[in-house]
Amino acid sequence: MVDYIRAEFYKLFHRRYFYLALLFLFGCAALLVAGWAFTNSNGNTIDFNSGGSMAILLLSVGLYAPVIVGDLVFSEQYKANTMKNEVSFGLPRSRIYLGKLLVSVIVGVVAAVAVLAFYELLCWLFLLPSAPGEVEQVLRMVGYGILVALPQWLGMLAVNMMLSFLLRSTTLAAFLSIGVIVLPQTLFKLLGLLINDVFAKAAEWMPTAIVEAVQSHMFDWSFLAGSVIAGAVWFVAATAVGLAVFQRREIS
Amino acid sequence: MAESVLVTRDLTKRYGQAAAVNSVNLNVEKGQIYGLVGRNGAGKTTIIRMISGQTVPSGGELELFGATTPAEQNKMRRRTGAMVETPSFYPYLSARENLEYYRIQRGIPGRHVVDEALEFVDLANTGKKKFKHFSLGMKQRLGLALALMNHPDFLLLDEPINGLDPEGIVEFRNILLDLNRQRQTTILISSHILTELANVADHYGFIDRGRMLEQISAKALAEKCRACLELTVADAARAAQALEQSLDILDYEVLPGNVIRLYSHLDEPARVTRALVEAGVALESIEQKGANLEDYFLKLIGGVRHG
Repeated sequence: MVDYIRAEFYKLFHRRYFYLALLFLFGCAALLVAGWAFTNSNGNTIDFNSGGSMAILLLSVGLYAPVIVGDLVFSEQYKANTMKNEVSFGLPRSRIYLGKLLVSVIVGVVAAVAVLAFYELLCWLFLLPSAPGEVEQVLRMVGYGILVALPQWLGMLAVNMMLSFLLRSTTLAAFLSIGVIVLPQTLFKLLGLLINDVFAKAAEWMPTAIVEAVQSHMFDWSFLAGSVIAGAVWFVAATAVGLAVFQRREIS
Repeated sequence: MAESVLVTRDLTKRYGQAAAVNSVNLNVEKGQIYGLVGRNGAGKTTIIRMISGQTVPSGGELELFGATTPAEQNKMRRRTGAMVETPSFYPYLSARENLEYYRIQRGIPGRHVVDEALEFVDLANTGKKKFKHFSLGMKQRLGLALALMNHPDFLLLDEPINGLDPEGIVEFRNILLDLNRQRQTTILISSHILTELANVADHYGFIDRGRMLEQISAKALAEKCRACLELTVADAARAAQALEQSLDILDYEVLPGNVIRLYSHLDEPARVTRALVEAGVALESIEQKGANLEDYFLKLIGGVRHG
């Protein structure tokens, strides 16, 4: 497994797409802070407290990041027909699947933490804290937000990886991934209104709902536990289905 | 008794109702170059894909280096090198980067392995050129380099000479023969270019419509296809005596139905006829016979099919 993971990182680091994706994410963070610094120079008053804690509102974006991370790691293996090179050498399919999943988790988590840290650093440098202890308070809030959002991100990453392994088209896999992120909450809300309140309750535990509700459940550890359980259910279920189907998949 | 590298028993692959491979029995022994002969769509690639683990068989048994369970077979696949259909690599990586990726993934120690493999297939000087810019011949050679990188005991090659120029075909043939002679590498090679297959294989399996029609050694096949003059006479014993006495012919055989096959004097049917006439033996027919691999295969499948 270690060799497999090392090889995946070798491939990742030799791909321009990886650096462009990172540049894009860091660029977006820089652009956001630059925008606020610009408005501040024109009389606005966005300080570190408002700018830095804005990251909590941006955690939802992380739900869509697995589409990029999954695409980066899976690297269109079906389009390039390279999966046969791995299978025909006798690498167990479970190792191929879990190896890629693990690499995407590492890349996703490291990239998310790095981008958020970069964002907070820029906020600290350009928006300036206005009161003592403000930095610690903002970072604690953002840290809690990450802890709640992380299980949902990983759950969606597992869904994206499952779809990448099961579908030949990475574009279709990306669209379906977004569908899985967006649709269940809307569907359950609708069913809650039309059929039973149980569905409305279920809608509250869908990935988008959980991440959007972070601010209203700040430092609520039972909410965090609920998020971990919900994320784990998505992660385990998607991985189990993906692994089971991939075991018998025809590799061309 | 020779060690079997690959044995299949009633190996079958169905897609819905249609059988792409139907109860195929195949036996490849250590050191053989086994040519899988068949037209496009005969089932050659499906067989190789089942052996290489890309496709799960619908029925039958497969034994690879004695391993019969899927998990054991997967372990044994480490001893194989495969090139199935068009070689595929990451388009944005160079030849060296692609091989290095697989070297790390397969846990093969030493970077020199990559350089050796590239040298072996004459791709050492491709530098940073990306795989997507390679010609088909270069892609084929890189595919072979990957298949050989772990010094396999058993090579699986599916239509490996497609896209190679004549010089490349000769080089490829020599590489295979060297591997077989020097490293005792067993090779299973499929092709529909029979003239080329005839230059390397020492055993053949003829497959058509998913069924194995015949397995035969190159020696036995050559015997079957040996050029001869086939005579049908009224009295075979007297004819044989006459041929021996007047033309000193000794290399012949008598078959049932008063048929005699001469393996000498192939260019002298007139002399043979005269000798028989002079001996008073009635000659019903005289015919030049013999076949190459292509003729033999076509005869086996019942001739050329149209439409």
